[in-house]
Amino acid sequence: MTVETSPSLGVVESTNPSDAAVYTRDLTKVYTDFWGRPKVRALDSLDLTIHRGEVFGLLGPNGSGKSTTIKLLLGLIFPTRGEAMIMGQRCGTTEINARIGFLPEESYLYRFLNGEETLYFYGRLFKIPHRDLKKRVPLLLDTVGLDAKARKRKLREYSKGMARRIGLAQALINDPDLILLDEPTTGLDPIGTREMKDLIVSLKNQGKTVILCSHLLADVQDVCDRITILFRGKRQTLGHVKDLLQVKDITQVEAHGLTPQQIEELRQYVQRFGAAAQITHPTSTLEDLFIKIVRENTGESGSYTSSDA
Amino acid sequence: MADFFFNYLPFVIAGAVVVFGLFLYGLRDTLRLSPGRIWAIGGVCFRDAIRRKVLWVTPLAMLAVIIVSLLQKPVDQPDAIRQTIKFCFFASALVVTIIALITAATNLPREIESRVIYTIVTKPVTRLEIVLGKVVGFARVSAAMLLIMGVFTLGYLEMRAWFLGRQITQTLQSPQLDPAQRAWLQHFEAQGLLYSQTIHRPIRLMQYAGVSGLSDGKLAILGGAQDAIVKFDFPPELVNDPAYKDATYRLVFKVPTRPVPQAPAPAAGAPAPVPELQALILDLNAERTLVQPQQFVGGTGTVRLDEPNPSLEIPPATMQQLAKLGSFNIQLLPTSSSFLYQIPDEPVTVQVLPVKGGQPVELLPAAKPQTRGSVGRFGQQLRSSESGVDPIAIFRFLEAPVKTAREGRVPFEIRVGLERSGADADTEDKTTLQITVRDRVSGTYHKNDPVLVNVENRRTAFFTVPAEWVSSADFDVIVKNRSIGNTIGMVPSSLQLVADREPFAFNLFKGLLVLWLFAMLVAIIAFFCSTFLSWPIAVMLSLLIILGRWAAMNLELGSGFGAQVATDVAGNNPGLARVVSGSVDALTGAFTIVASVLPDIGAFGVTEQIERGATISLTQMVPPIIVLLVFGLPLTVLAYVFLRNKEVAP
Repeated sequence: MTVETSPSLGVVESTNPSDAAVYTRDLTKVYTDFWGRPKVRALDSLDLTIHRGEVFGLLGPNGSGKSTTIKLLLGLIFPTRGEAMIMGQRCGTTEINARIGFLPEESYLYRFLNGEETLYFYGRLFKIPHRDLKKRVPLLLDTVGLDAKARKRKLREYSKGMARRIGLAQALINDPDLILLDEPTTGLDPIGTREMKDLIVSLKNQGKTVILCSHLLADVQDVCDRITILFRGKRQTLGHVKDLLQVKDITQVEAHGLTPQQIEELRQYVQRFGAAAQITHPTSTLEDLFIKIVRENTGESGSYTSSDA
Repeated sequence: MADFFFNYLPFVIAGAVVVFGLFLYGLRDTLRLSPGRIWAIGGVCFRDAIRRKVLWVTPLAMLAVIIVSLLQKPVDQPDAIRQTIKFCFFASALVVTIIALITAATNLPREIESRVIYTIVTKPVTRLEIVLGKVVGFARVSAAMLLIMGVFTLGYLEMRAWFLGRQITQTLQSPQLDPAQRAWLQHFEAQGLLYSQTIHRPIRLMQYAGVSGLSDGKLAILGGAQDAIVKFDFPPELVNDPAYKDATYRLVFKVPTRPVPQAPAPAAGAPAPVPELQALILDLNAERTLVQPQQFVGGTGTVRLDEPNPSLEIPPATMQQLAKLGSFNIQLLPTSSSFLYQIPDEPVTVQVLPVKGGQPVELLPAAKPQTRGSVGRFGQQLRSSESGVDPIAIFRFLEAPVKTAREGRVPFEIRVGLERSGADADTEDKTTLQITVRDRVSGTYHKNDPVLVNVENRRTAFFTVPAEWVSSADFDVIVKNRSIGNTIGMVPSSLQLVADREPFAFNLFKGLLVLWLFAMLVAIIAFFCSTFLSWPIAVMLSLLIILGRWAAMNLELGSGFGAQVATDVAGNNPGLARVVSGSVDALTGAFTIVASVLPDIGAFGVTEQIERGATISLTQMVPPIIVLLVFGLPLTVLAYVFLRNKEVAP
């Protein structure tokens, strides 16, 4: 067994399948037609090891096999070939399901229940005592930012953003070790997106493993330790985000409060090494700008709650 | 062993499926079963149905019942309440069955389609818990609907019974009321229109000629009006013994006769009547004729009893066919109305005379002969007294404990058919019966103070007898027809003892409980089908499974059905007719075989009983429970097996 020091805090990298949060070997899924003839090869020999404690991004265009991988890990569908293990055990078992949380692509929940009833129902499926649920449910609803009014409303009256929030709350009801988030920021406004990302980081800081499946590459870049990109059912690349994105032949220097003259001197200094140098002022992201404006106007600095419909 | 296996085949298959599914294939899931999780899933399933407003169908059903019951055209008040009970119960059954079917067939496909199932199966919930949770949910939906319909039924019936009771009181004040109708309505005025009573039926109905002066133990039957049935068991060793292969089989009769005491003298010149007896051979249940009189050697099957050693011979081939059946009945049909035929314990024996080798064997009856009235339009015919002969019908009750004695008398009900004699066209459609009782334990015959009952054609009449007459629980009720010229027809269930009474509401509750079991069966079948079919196909297949057996029994797809279709389709083309006939017979045969393994929904039929006011006994709850267990349990387990292997992502 080899254990490597992780570039990210708290990540335990091991080549031993039983130590990995998720381990797949030759994982293949071929969808067949009514007569059993192969129709689509959705996933082709996927080898993947996701370490405990990391935030892992599963990227790829539509139909690349992301959702198929998630469904296979959850036991919603069965592999045509290969194996998939979670925390060293065969996936899809109730023992494993007790330790994972899953936020599906859209919040597929009972629309006739209200927010609280939903969490109590899922809590009962984990056999969480009612006494504990009475404490945990309000706490979770606070965490995901659903206010008292929203909790009593039926889910069918929820906006998309609120549905994502209650979906996330049900995924966390059992305090899971592994959380699978399928497009977690879909439908959320920028503040909601930021809160979701903060939450993911906070989960990672609690030592939990998070698998993130998203189209929004900026979100993935912000929070993931490692990513893999799938295309046509095959793994195209795998590695640490920083390593994959690093442009090795360009050097970036950051400095605060330089005068135009000092900038010009810096350019001339760099050019003495024979390299072409470009010195510009960095721009903030639109997300940062949006959040700054909203927070200035609401006078809040923390999270805000959602009861919009 | 083989017989045992086939008799209990459904139980064996059901048990095998359950053992395989729960204890071999799904042992881990069985051991992990959590009632809490099952109840939680059932609760959501129930709330789903409630939020989908399935209960709104109940007010519609109530409205339909009220409208239909107001439009009905009853004969009288008891008939009106019967019809209303029928409507209420039919509406409840229809509503709960349809809702159970649709809810159960659509639940799983809808959850897969909407992907809600994603958030369930990814929790530590086994597929077995999902299946059981759903079944619990459907059971709760059905129970809620039946509770609402039950409360409405009881309330509406009580209200209607109160109005109809007032109408009865008013009708009874009319002086022109027909006496029989008055007695009928007075009974309901006293008893109430909503009632539930335990009926005890006689085990047997016998008839005798009813002539005093005959020697003890030798009862007689009247020629031309009554007959006797004698049961025989054919020894299996005789069937296989080659020595008896072509043996002569001879029926030897020992039936003493005597002329009817006051028989009218034969017309001048007419031959003097002779005591003749015709023999037929019937099946074990004495329902089907296996050997007609003309099939006997000699071609008449008739024997003169006044000649020495009266006997009839059966052709060996015919007898060998009978021997294969094991048991059969010989029917003794006395044909001369001028004679009384005494029926001893062994009125006929079968002599077997081998051709060569082997000893002659004499077969004796397997049981005491049963004497009956000739069968007419309404069952066994009981004639009125004439020519010194007073025919009697005996209803034998066995272990009939009575709890209904009121003011020292016990209630009975009698319902017979009347066959008017053609000679007297003015004979009214009613007659009087004389009832006496013989206690079979003490041997006391209570004949000095007979009860007289006026009966109308096919209408129940009520009478009571002193409680001490029936206190032993084993007794014979002896009925005589006191109206000259009328013949009454009766079957064993024509006379019933009202042994116990209980509140109508309790009986209704038991009826609804049976309906609930039926709704559970329907829901389980529909849910099972939905685990591998889309919901519209699942609904169709469920209907086929539920109604298949009932349809096969009611369509009467006998062996002649193919020929009948061939005549309609193929006309004069014999080749085509043969093909059509063969194909139709093969198809109907296959359908009948498949239908025979489907659930028998007849076990859930209680409407008629509640309508008649007959108490549903606890033993009657057993067949529905057995059907539910034999079909519901294995189908639940199979639904689990299918769901465990099902990819729930669409």
